[in-house]
Amino acid sequence: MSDTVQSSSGRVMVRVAAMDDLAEGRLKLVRAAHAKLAIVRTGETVRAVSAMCTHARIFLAPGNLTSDGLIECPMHGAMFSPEDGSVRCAPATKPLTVHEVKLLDGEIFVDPGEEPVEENADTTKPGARPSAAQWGNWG
Amino acid sequence: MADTVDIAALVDEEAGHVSRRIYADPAVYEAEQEGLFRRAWGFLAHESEVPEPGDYVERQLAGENVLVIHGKDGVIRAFLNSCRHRGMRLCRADKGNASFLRCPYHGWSYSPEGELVSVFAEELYDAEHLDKSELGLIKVTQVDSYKGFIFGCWSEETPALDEYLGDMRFYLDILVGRTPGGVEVMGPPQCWEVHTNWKFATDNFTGDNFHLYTAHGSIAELGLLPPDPMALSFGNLIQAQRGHVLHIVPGPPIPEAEYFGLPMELRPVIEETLSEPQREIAKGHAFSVGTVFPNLSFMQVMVQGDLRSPPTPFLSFRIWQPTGPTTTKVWSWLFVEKEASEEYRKATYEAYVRTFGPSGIFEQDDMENWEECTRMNKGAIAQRYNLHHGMALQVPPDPDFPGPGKAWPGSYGERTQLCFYGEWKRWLTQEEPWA
Ligand code: FES
Ligand code: FES
Ligand SMILES: [Fe+2]
Repeated sequence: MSDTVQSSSGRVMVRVAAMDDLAEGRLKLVRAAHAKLAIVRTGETVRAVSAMCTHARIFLAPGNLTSDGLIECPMHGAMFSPEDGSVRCAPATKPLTVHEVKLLDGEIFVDPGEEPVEENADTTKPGARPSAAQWGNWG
Repeated sequence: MADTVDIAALVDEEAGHVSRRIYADPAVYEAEQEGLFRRAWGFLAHESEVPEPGDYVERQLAGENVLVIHGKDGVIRAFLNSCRHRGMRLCRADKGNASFLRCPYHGWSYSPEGELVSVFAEELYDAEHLDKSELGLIKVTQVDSYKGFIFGCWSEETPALDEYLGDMRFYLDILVGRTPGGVEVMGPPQCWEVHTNWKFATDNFTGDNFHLYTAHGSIAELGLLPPDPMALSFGNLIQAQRGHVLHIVPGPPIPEAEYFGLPMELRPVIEETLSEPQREIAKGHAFSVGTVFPNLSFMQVMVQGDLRSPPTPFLSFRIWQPTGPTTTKVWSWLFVEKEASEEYRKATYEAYVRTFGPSGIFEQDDMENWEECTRMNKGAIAQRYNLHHGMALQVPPDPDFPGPGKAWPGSYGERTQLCFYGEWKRWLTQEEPWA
């Protein structure tokens, strides 16, 4: 079987796992091209969201969802819905991005999305500065 | 026990490992007192604390009580606060003004310049048994000051203060020498005791910016820190010279956050006073935290004391004085420009007391963490496992950085901690660590 398929809008989707690899109520981390994604299976549906917590840019951890079926960040405890990536509990304020999923013969294909343009440059690059957005309403 | 500690094995700068024993072992504490604190320069007082002849303050140098006193001749000196007769603690107030220093026990009295001037029942001694000129107060071996900051040192061999501070002076000038008048203290220091090893304080004050969103998470939740936990990760970690280290961190891209947020009316004179590279650094940054090796730390930060107040800068210097292997006395001073307005003095004072000092909302979080770190690291089992200092060690220094020393881009990292521990190890293991 091919490692990629086309999405309805013509985007390249990458094979990341098989249905049999996924257990109900557990989060699995996968790589799709440049993207690190978190995938969750509910019955015969699979959802994929970006694996990086939007709070301090920490990678989410594989493992059980909360008893409410939410994704919990290991660092400061933010919670996200695996359905639509929305924030269910602080301190994160921005949702996780949702990635399109396609199931084909028990295999899971995911759209990795565009390669992100790093909005805040690598902080270890000489002369890098924070953006106004990172400071929000501070002050 | 002291000879059974292999100090050199306790710190591995290359690997980024530090033994837990350095925070709890009584033998390490003893080695530290002898090798480090009885040889290094220690901060005693600021000249503005003793402005008039006869003014004195009592301080500690390597755990011994020292009197810093302004002589009638205008010279500020430092003596052991101990009478030459039976050793009584001569001045029992921690601050005052004295025409003579009178011993509370048998009454021997000394001039503010440290000479023994009168002895009780002097007629009962013969010349052979009393030579007053030999019995002046014991002088601190070396005393010198930099920009009003008076330091003392118990060793003759230690290089002079200017050489000891070296390139750290470039950065200190940005904080304490940025106006023609320089800075002065706002009142006496606040002092309090903490059940921690002093090196947890310096570890934090060598530029630990990455504890903010966890240790101070409740403050972040209130909205008193910027929403993105990476907002404070920019800037540089700097090794000015040897164990003298700091970080400089930019604020949001607005003019209010330039020059550490200092009042607009002071900025023209700051721009005039600083050199070009110092000006560039001051203009581009809102925060700086660092340590003059071994235990004088500073923080120049903009903070919000509550939700209604705008971010307001303050400059604090503090000493982490070890009083035992796992206890520390903190001395914390607030400084302000001599030229500062009354209004700014009030604002900076309020920002400081609300956030730092024994009741400050930030300081409370820090103390709790340092006390619990100390308590955990006392364990014999715990001590079998090293602590970890490995963040951003792969980042090379920036060759174009405008200041002296080495500057690693990014303020989240553990470079400066390792510089500190490396220097700490040299003082405990080498004959001439400064060489
Ligand atoms: S990094 Fe996820 S909650 Fe802070
Ligand atoms: S994360 Fe630093 S002590 Fe635990
Ligand atoms: Fe802190």
